[in-house]
Amino acid sequence: MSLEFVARLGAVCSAPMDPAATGMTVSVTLTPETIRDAVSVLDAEGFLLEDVMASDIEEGFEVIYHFSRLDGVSRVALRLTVPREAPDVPTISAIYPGADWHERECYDFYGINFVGHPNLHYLLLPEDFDGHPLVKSDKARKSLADLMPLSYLVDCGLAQPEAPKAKPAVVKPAKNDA
Amino acid sequence: MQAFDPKTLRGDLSAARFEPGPTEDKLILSMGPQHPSTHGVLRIMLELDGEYILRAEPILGYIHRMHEWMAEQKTYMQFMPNMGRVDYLHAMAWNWAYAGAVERLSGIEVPQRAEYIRAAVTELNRISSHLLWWGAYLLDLGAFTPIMYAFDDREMLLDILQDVTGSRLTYSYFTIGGVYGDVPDNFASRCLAFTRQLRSRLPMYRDLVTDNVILRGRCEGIGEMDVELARRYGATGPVIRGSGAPVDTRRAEPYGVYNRFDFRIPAYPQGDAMARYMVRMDELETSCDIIEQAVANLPDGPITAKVPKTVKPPKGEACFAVEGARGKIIVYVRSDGGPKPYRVKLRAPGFSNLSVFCELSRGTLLADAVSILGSLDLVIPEIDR
Repeated sequence: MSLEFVARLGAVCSAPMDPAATGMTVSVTLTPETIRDAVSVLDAEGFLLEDVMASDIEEGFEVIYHFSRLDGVSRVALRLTVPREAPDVPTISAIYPGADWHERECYDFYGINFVGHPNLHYLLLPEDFDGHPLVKSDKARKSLADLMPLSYLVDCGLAQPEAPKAKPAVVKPAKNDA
Repeated sequence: MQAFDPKTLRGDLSAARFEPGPTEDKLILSMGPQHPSTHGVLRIMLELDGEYILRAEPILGYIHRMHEWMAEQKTYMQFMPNMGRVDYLHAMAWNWAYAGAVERLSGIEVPQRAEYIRAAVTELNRISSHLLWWGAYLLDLGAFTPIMYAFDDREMLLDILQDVTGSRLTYSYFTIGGVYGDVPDNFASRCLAFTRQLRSRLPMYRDLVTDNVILRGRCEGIGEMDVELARRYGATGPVIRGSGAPVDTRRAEPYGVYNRFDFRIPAYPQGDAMARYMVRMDELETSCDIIEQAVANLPDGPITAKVPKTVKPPKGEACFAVEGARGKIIVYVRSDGGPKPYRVKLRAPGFSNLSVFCELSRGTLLADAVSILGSLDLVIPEIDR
């Protein structure tokens, strides 16, 4: 599959993923400001919207969008992180109307505010429910470094590649051929 | 006593939010959650002008159980029985999606015998799901007899699956690394007897039902959807195949041993309720093809990989997509290296398929909206999760 469109997404960073090990082809990190433009690019490329989900991590709320082409293994994950205090993400429901309910579901579970969403209120939870059930406690929350494999962190500049371990020099005891 | 004033009748919060349009003579109707054509507990707020629908808004969540929260509280194995309860009509596909995601994340290789058994039981389950849809859809449209035939066929199928899995509906037959138990010795012969019987019945179903002029009148040209609309809404499965795009996860990203089976992917270009009906009827045959190939090539060997008692996938994330009876099922699992998942996301195909309904039903007759709703093949527990 051609990945030339990745260059046009305005990514902060992009990490190739192994489809056999993750089910994804590429993971692209964006900012809330660039998400709508990136999604427009995918729309023009003919991608199908699979889902919009979120995950509560130490850095904030990570919102992940999954797209795939109609044919072939080509899952693209777009991700962005917003602070827990001001979880504002522009809605993409004007581009992909199917995102409407997925974004409402993220609002249900995490309280993420999709700016510009036409109808942002509880979808699955009762209307008078108080709170957002999937928000983790401070103790249970993990950082991206604890959740992603090293290769991803290196691709995103979050970690240094592990230096290949230098072989400990084996000092052979001098043969004592007396 | 206060005088009765219909303007003060606002109903519950969902009804209050559904603002009536600008004109006076429109009717706001709450269809469901106990309406027989909503199959379970779906509620739809409708704004009607006479018999015509101006606006429709589904209200979800009547059987929301928060499976994704439960996943974070349980170990990887303990969450397995939940998967049989997400979509009770095609439980095997959800079993496979979750087991597959954890296996992919942990790098577990599933033995060949287990892969063939998985394919066979998943396709048997797909047939039982399609048969139930077929009977119930026709019941919605006013035909009573077909559901009796469908349940007759289904009975034979459920007996086979009961002997294999121990349950008749909410299967949790898959384990991480394989399947829970081996199939009985007569499994292959019973499967073949079943596919033989179903194949002999299908021409009768076609003559009796599919070619029936009343059914055609209720389905043809109703709820037309093109591929672009399906793509933007994320509609998958028989819904997008009924719009002419032969999109099938079993072919697009083959999982298990599906790349070894020879089967065709039915697609109809009309995009109406009839096209979606025809796709599902053809899929009964393609599932029979796959079952016959799977049981004929069933290899000997172990049925589970060697998996530690407590599964602890390395940190990372994985998606696993499966073609369910309703469309593309995706389970996303994120691990922090511990014994419990950090995050599990269940992508239900019915959720996306139903979200198209608002668009499809606009401007149609109320009776046609029932036909459209049925043609989307909804299972509400899957949508609400």
